[in-house]
Amino acid sequence: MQSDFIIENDLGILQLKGDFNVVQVDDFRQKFSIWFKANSGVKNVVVDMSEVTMVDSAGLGVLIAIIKQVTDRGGEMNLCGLMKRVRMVFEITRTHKIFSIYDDLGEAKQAFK
Amino acid sequence: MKAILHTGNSLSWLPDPEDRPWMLLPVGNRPILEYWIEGCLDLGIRDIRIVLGEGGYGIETYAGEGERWGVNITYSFLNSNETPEDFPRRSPDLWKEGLLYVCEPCFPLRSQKVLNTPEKGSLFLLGPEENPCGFYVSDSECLARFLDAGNFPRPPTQAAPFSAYRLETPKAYFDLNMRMIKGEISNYLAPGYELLEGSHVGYNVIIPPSVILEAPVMIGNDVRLRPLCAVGPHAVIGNSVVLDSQAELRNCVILDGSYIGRNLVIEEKIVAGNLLIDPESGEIFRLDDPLLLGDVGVGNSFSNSFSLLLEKVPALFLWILMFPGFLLLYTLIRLTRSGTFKMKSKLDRKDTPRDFPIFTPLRSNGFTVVFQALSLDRWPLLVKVFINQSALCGHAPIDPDLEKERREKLPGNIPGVFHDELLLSEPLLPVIGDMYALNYLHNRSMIGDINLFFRVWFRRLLKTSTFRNGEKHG
Repeated sequence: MQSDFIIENDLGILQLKGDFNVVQVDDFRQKFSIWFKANSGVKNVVVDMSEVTMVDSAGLGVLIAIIKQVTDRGGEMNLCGLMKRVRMVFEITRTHKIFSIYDDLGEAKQAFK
Repeated sequence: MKAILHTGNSLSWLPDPEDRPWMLLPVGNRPILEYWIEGCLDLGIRDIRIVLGEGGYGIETYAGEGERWGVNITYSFLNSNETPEDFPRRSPDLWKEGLLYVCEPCFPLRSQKVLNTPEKGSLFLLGPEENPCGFYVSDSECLARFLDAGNFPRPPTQAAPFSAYRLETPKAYFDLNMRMIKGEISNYLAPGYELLEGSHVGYNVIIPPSVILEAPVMIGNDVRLRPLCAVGPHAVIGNSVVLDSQAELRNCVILDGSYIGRNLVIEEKIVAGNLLIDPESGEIFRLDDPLLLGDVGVGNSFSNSFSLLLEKVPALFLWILMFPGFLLLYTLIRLTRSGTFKMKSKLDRKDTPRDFPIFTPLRSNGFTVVFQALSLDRWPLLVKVFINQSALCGHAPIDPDLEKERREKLPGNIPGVFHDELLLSEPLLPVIGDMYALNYLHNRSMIGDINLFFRVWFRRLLKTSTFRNGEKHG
């Protein structure tokens, strides 16, 4: 899995690509924690999942863990661009109720304005 | 021209909205969603956006991408901080050409088979003007006002080609079904089709010779009627329903996946699994006796029985294999007073509270670390697999007192000796437990169980540090 961390006007944008599963999550969680601590000005975060092909329960667990870090800093986290296969995982686990999910990156960014 | 169908609002009178979202409630013998999609088609709309909420998985599984109707269906979620009116405002440009907007549980009630195509620039409200459930607008100025202010566009410029029948009460839903079965369903059949003698029987329905069917009746697919049943008049039976011997149904609506027990007489009622709903008063009775009413589904399938049998053999093998290690290490743990088993109440497979032995380390030392890393603390729980109280692999057992709400959210209960909670090292949020359990129950398979077993086993073995730090895993 590839992950890119971008900052646009104090808005953190995480762009994930590939499978987001138990094999990759530990590495991603560590990378995120280091990046988030290093950028104390970032309050709100958008996770762009338009190129994520698969998410398992460990991946969801990490998303919940990072939403906790973001809300602890007083920010909010939006997800966007879920593919069908990924969206179905959110539906069956009912985690769509925990996250704010938008159709595309533009909508997710707009929600913070 | 596009349509937005909000499916998220749950019906206050219908429990378990996650299992039965209002859009999938049958009217006649088809879900309401299908009537709305056909309504969209008649209005010339082929791009439908379904906004998901409760029971989203069921809706998406049912409707797919709309290929069955020749429409293009896409899905979105309504977030907890948004109202239905906020949704189209996210990307206003998408709806510029016109919009059919449905935001409340309602049914498109037709008075004729063929709808009059709305004129260009027209606007009509769905439902009563003072309290509409949605609208249709093809006038861009009107729509812009709605998108700006969120108020429903007014005044209507023409009468709606169909009215929106609100489903606020069980009586409204019941009456709607009765209206359909008494003849109005013919307004929803494509031209050229007729409902013969007021009856419809779906595919794969087994009706023994001694069953009496009195029209009008509607029977869905995969229904089993046992001998000497009497069905109708005015009975609407959903898909995958089992009606036991000598039961009688008349003036009633039976929702998908229900079992009706022997010798029962159901009249003027809605049955949803083990729930008996009185449409007049709106009272809901939950019957806990599966011989009367029940769900045809989780726990009864052949695959569940098959895996139940297969998991006992590996459980016995593990029990024998782990016994010497358990005996040796637990003796040492007791001698050093570093841990003990405490009985904790958990729900077994049949939802009965039982005492489960849970290992509780009193202090961390080499014995407790190795004991847990080798999963020897699970050895006493293996006995529960033999007596059908627990599965070898499943979700985390549920505390009947503390986690009552959690149990209600789950479609089944398969407590496992080996379960997924060990995959995270941060403090477990209750929601992660729910998530794992739901994921497990939806995707349960034998290969998945084998995968889970080895994943948990090796994870425990590799994560000895978590035991060393004294973290407890139930």
